[in-house]
Amino acid sequence: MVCGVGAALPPHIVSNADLTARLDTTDEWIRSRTGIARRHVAGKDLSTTDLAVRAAAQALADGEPVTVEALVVATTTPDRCCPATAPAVATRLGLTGIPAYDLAAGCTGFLYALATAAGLIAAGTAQTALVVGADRLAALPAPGDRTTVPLFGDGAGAVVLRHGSADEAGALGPVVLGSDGTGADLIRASCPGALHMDGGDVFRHAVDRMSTASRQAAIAAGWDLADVDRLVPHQANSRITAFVARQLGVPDDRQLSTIAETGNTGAASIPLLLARSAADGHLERGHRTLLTAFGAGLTWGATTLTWPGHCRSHPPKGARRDR
Amino acid sequence: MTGDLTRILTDDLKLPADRLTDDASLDDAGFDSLAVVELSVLLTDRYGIDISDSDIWDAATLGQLDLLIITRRSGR
Repeated sequence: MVCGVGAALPPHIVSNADLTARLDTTDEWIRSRTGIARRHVAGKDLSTTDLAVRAAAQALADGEPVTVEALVVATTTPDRCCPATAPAVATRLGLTGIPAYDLAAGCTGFLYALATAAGLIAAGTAQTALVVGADRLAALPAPGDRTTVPLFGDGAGAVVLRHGSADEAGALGPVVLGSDGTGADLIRASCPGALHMDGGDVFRHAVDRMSTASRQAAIAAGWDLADVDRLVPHQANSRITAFVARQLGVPDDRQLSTIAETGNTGAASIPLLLARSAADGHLERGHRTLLTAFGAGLTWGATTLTWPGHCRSHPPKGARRDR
Repeated sequence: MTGDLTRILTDDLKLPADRLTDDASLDDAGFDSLAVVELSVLLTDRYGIDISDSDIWDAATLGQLDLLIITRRSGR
């Protein structure tokens, strides 16, 4: 079960107006097609590791005190190819010695990490686990690509998981996951600055996979979709999330969103959305939340979560540079 | 236009109702590239018909688009 949530965003904000000064685009074009108004972008002095540490520390300070016994970091944009991000994050949190590893599943990474961390707990490897999603996606598009540069931002989010029972607030339902390598070319980047994305086909697959996975996760948890209090979709594009919500019959006032303020933050987006929504009161104890994501791979997933009330969430603030 | 297409364009695609006339072009009606994809997905989901993005763009007016949809639906 979830017993703490945290998030971190870089302090530097890039508005649509900032982008229109250097790209052939307009604020209206970006907003109408993506719902994005601004995004946080990390400078060279703020790494994926830095963002992960800050989000994880906030999650640990949020809920009841726990001794963390495992750490999973979902990221597609680690600071280096080798070694993984997670051991460094663990050590900076004072957790040297615990099992810690990275996992890459595109923008679905957080749900994959949640499932594997829950598996570590179920297997008895750990009683508690930190699950972090951290990405610096703003550096992925080619700098002059007006269709992809506006979409992405940087950030991190984290939750604390501990052993618990299915009827407690904070209970996590079965996690539905899937992948399809035949769509590998639809979202791909051989290196930072070389992102390719096929927008139309990505939209098609995203709405189909997220809607189907959401229905499967609800059935697996024994929930009726009409009983979902909050939909927590990966924040890729407001048109995608609105479409999925309509397919699922979830009304507008039950959808949570940060897309206007953050853009697509990859594996960070779901925990970031949870942290912000808990902080601003849109997510309350006992709310039945449905989490779903889709990303490069192709990958997708969904799960259910009854929101724990004891999380004392803080609004994600700009990351301090001295951490 | 038939009520089915009008309902999709206003309720699902949120296009402004006052622009939805038979002789309006897709641009006039407020379509953008994503709206074409959205319509294509909805037509497959609701009516089981496959109409590609380029087929939709090729319709000169909403009246022609409506006719295309009716023809494909009756062809099932």
